[in-house]
Amino acid sequence: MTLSDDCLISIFQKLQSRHDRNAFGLTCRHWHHIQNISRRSLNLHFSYETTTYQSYVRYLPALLNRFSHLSSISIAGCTELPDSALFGLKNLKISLRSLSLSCCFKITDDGLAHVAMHCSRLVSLTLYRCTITDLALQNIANFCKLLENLNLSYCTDITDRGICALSTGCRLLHVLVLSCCSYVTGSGLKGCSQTLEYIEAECCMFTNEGLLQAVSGGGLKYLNLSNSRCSMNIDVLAPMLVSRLRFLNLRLCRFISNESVVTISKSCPLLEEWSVAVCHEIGVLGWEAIGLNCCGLKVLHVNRCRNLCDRGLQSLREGCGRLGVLYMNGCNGVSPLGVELFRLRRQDVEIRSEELLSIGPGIFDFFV
Amino acid sequence: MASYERRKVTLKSSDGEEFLVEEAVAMESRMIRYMIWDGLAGDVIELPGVKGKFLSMIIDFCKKRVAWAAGGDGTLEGLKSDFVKVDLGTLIHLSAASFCLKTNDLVDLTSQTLANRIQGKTIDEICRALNPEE
Repeated sequence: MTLSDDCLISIFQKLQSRHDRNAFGLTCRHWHHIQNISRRSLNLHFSYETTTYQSYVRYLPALLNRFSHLSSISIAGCTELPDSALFGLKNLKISLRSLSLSCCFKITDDGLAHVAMHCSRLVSLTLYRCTITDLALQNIANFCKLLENLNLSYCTDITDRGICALSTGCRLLHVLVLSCCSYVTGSGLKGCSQTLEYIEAECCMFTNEGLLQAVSGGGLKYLNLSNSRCSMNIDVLAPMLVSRLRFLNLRLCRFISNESVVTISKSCPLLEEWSVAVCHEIGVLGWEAIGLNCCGLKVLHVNRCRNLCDRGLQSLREGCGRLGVLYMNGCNGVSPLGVELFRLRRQDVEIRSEELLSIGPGIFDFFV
Repeated sequence: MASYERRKVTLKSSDGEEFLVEEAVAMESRMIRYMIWDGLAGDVIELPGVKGKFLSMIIDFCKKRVAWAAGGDGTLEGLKSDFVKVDLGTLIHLSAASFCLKTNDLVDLTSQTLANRIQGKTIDEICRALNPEE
């Protein structure tokens, strides 16, 4: 009596331990095949041993051939991995949903073109520190229509042209990470889909125009503009387009003015967590606006704000009815008395002294 | 409550044995259910992939399950554990038959029971028990 493949797959999936799965696979060639087609993910991690990477390069083609139903592949630290190693991904065109290439410096636009053309069902793609250009983004936009999550951090050669192609071609884009893409101003986000809800743009050069385009989709929930390399005038944000914003990170945006803070506090009724750490330009008018308008704010970061004084802290104390946590340290304008008054009158608020670099939900959870 | 005539259907195994069952019992098998819904089933449904001996055991389980769902005695867990109290050879046949008929509970149950029998065994023991190359 031979069990059907469906039956064997069902039995194999119910085996929990590695020992049992390996024993299953070693009984005969057919069952070995069942074990191979049941594998869903392949993770080649960073390693301290340089010889590990040599074996990655050597064995990757064979691994891609053997595991023909992979849905997720992650290769990290393999700086010598050539474009040709990715050719084996052709076999996974139906199943592959998630691909991560971190620090694979030798992968070029050609390799990415191959990936895009053959793995058109990709949902998540990570290209951290890959040396790709706008051409790769154009190919991704042309072929990967189901793409939702894209991480381009430290892809320093890409520009707004590539981003523009993505905005037009990937209409299901949900999470876009552009951290440290130094030439991206944001103007390429023009016409982006409403599905774009999370933008990470730490250390970018977003301009006023770029910012307008970034929010043009109307669906933005999370925006990280921390450590911006360019001064922006946030007054231009059309209130309607940011009405869904829940998480805003402006840490180290030293130029953010009172006017900008007033605009944001009035335009974003759903704002839950906001970081204005090290935003030295915010004065009493700004703090008053936050206290008055940010009724839904649960977490506020004001670390090292030079111009937060007792008066400003009082405005926060008397407003922000839903505030649960205040991250505050190094604010020399605030006196110990001011802090004590706050603690006394707002026992519902926890004061913490850590300065957090990132806020809100874990963006990278989307890439699993 | 208005009474209605409970429709019956005949299931015929690969070795010619016939079983007359209520439609509700037969529809525990997704394969048979879709055949009936799509109007592809006559009065006699042929099941060439399943032998009479095992078909009768599965029909028996389905009858008990339908009765239990209608508010009968016992637990589903009890029914399931009784079903798999058989020798390994029969279990393998029942598993194959469940897959063929696509009876949800039985597919999971037989796979899990077979997985349990493999657990912790060496390669030789698995070969002797399940005879994969046969």
